[in-house]
Amino acid sequence: MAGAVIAWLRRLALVLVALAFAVAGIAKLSDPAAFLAVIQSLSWFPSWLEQLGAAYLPWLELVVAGGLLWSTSRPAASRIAMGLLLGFTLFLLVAAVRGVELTCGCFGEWWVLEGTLWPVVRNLVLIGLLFGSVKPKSAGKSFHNGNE
Amino acid sequence: MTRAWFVPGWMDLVLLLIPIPLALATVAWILPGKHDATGPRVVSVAEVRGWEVAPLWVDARSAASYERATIPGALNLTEGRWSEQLPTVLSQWRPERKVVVFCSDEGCRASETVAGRLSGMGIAPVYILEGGWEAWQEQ
Repeated sequence: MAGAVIAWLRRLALVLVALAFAVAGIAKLSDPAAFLAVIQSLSWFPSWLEQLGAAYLPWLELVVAGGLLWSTSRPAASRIAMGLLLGFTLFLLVAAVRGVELTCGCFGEWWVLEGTLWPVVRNLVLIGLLFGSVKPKSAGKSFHNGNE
Repeated sequence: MTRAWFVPGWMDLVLLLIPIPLALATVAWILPGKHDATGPRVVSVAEVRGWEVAPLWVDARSAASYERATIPGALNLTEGRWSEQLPTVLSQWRPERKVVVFCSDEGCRASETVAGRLSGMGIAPVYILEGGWEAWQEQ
């Protein structure tokens, strides 16, 4: 019984992360110019990379969201999701250290969190959910083992 | 032997490659001048210098870049701090005063976005500085 509840909670955690990625991707794609402007406001990257990044990231988020829900691609999608969340968090922290006042643009204008603290907390929660969805190997077949 | 879940496999590559054609299509759509033919007009530095009344300069670059150096009298207005910075811009704007928005260089899009939003609010005329801050420095 307890095992079934834990398995259900793991699935719920995974669906929540997938949902967050899907919403983030759709929000950015609904106004790509606004997301591009957020990246450009940093003036960290060459123009071509800003444009490519602003276009690539939302699609990658959507692919990851779909990948998390499909058992074959789940392990790969969860690795990429983890990489993205860690990357975004590092990005926010570096911006904060450099004194850049940033609205992260993570969810477009649908969920705006000013500053560094709350976007970082949000990312850490998602990282926690992603870790939570991983079933320990000793307990049997992992949720993330998939078909790989 | 079962591989640890954090070790990448071929599926990782597949997932990373899938968005590339979609991204390229999106880039084609958001490239400058591709999606809004009726937006603010582009103006050169020389043209602005010929105006009788000095425009209201709006710097769409980051706050850090703005604080380092900007066009004299320019006000900072970015997507990220729009609601905070907009009141200052509005307080300086008069209907007879042209607004010129600029960002870092030819390739940046922030000036288009900011100029588009200002136009959408009924502020006119709004222009985009061709070549941005880089062109201003060269002249």
